[in-house]
Amino acid sequence: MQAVDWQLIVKKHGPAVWQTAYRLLGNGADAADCFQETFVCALGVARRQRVRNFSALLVRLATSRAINRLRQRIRESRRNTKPADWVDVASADPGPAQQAQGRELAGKLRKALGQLSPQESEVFCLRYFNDMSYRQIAKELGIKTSAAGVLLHRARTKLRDILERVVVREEQ
Amino acid sequence: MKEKKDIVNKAVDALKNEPVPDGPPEEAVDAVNAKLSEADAEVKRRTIKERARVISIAKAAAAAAVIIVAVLIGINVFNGTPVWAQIVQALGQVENAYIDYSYTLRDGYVKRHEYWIRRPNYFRESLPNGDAVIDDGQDRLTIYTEKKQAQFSESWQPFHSLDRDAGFEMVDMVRDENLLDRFEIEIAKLTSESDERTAVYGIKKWDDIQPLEGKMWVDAETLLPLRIFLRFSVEIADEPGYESTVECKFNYDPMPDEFFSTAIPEGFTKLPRIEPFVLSGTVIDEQGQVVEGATVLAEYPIWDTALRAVTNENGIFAIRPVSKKEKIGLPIFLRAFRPDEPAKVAWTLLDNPAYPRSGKLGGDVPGQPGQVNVMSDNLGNTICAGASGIVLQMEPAAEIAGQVTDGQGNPVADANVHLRCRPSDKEGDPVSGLTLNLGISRTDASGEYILANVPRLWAKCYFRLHFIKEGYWREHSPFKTVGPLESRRVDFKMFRNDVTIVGKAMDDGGRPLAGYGLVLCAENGERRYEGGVTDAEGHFRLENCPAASDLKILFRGMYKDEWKFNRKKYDIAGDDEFVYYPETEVAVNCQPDKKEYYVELVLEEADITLEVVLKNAAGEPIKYFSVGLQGRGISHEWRINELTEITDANGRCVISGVPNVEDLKLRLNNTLSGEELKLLTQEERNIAGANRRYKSMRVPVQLVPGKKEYRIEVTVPTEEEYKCQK
Repeated sequence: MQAVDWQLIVKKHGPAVWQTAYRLLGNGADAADCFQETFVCALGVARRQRVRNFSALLVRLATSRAINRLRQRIRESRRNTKPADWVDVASADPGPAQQAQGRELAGKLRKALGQLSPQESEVFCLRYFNDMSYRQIAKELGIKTSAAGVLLHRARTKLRDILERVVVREEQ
Repeated sequence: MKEKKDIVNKAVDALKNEPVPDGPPEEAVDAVNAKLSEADAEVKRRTIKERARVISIAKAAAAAAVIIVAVLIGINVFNGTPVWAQIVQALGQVENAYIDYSYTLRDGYVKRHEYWIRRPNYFRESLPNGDAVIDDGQDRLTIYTEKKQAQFSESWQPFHSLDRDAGFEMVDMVRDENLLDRFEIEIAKLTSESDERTAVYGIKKWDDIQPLEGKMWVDAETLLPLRIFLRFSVEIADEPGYESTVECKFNYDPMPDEFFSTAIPEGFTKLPRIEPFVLSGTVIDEQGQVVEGATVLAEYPIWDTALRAVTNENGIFAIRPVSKKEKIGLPIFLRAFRPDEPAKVAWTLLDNPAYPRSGKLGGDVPGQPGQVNVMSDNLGNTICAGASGIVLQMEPAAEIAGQVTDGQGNPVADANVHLRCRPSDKEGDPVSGLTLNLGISRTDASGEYILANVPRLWAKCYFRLHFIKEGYWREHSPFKTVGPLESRRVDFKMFRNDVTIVGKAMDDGGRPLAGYGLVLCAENGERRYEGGVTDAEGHFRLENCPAASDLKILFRGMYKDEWKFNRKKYDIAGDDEFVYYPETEVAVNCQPDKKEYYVELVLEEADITLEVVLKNAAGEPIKYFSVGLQGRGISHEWRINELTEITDANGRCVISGVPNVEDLKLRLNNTLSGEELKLLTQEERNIAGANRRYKSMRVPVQLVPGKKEYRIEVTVPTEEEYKCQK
């Protein structure tokens, strides 16, 4: 098994994992949970196989955990009569109108990501929030580069539909 | 369309621009570190090294039993020591062990083996067919119960330690360290089922590959296993899996000496003792008369040299290994000839009788292999324990001759010429794992060579003439036969390997291209030589290149992982910014006296975008149709990985990163690959399935200098429409 200095790994890659988790989840409590889950999961992976690129693995795991949480929120909000107020958590500080609008849109995107398939969301997030190339995404998810491209395309199409529906509904 | 696209980009930008507080918070880091140290410490207690060490202890003990126990590796802690370690230790002190081992096969049939082991080297096994084997470390007696025959051979123990005799299916699985790494077995004491005398443990392994569960009964006082029962799922690729069970019962009572007696049972015929590791037989001519003075060569594909013998006046030969412990693998290629009769050869193949290849071969193997005895060594490899009664009969042979010259046309003397062959199977494909050495020769002062006594084999065999000489490129000339091999002349050109080429590969913006493969080629790419890889700065240095006047460097345009040359995989760091480029050739133009060259490769970035819209004759969009690209220098890998898309519900797709190459064509395929299908929902697959009615076609793409974005609308005819047009 690979000898890993976990303290060093946490120190080196912790900020990136935190950023990934926080950006997708939009609040500190969930991001902290996701942060912890990510490293514990990485430990499991390192036990099973040699990890060559911890940075990519951790970002991928953080994205995947965060998306799981987003999906969980969607499920919960469907069960509850009152939708979960997680979108609002991110916009606790009132700011200029434009900024508030941006936050609102960001919240909608989070919600929309939770409605995609896990793989589609993951590919989308890795591409746009972590700036991974198709090749890197394919490598991390164990799929072909062309498949990554197709998933991304599908994710974009679905997101577009979802976001547009929301906007149109609000305008009406 | 633009508006739609914008909303996603806007949302992405909004999310990206949202402030993220500095982090992670200290308490989150502390919590993670605490959790990781705890989990890591637990893992370290059961590293592979430790597991492997215990398995090696097991080898010295009554190992067959230990191996089953080893399944339980890395699991539970008992008084601060893993349970299995204590069990292994207890077994190490046992003198006698009896194991009743049974397992279910796919069809539900139960196979049972019984093993009796007495340290240090007594072993007895009862096989499912009723036969028995007794090995006392000196002799090995096999008793064929049904035939009422018995036969002695050398003990297997020098090659095959006691524990390997117990051919448990679990053994290999457990021994494989890679698999060990994946094992995550949990064991928990079942207190409700345990009592003062027997401790019962529940075993579970959650694993996508092979989940198993079972129980182990252990003597509470001695910690020796009494019984192990495991149930696991066997997964087979593309086939339905099935459940199997393994059960072992143990007994440690003393055994009488008679149990390991190698006396022949009454009423049994004693067969002649198998002479260990000797290949013996006769060489005869086409009329069946014995051939005296024939050289007999025995070659096993992985040997470097052949074992050799000469027939006596009765045409008999006996090939003995150099040392008694030398392992002879299977298959063995046997060839006999008389140097004074170049047009004759006798040959045969000795193979594992249990898994003969002869049925797979595309032609007949002459001669008779006789009685081949096999055994397996400690690593599970099948080796030949000897063979007798081999008959090699002479038949017409082929002759291959030719001249070897250098780049300037001068003869190359003292070059070794080897002829190798991969025989074909019934479909005309080469048989895997079987390469035959058909002869070796050397060029004379005029560069001439002759390979005589060459077996002719049969149609579609893959021959290779290898030419080797120090200071020259090691090269080969391949040829394939239509029928049996006919005598032929093969002249060959060898090049000195004294040219050095250095250079740099960069894109048109001057950025270095790191990690790309380079190949040397000549004669319009017919002859290819090993090249190299560009380093992090895009530099490359290729030494010992062939001094061919038409030498070219072929820039592969692919990342090192995706190409192999001479089975070598290049490995360099820094794959994050990889971009494909077209295969590009650059001539080096070697001069007779110049030994060093500098080559600069500048590659144009692939930055063209094609928006492709597919419609049928009625103007309806063609959904979920595969659109790829081909063109000069576009590798298969590039096409598959980046230049293939599927049309969406509007019959549209966008292919970006397209190179500016000659003969650029769209590849419209009416059938999606398995990988592509995986990306579609069932409903979409149904639609894609109906696309088969359309014609798969290639559509030329006309590129205009300077233009980077193209919209291409293609009307795809159905097969019927296409036939009508035609």
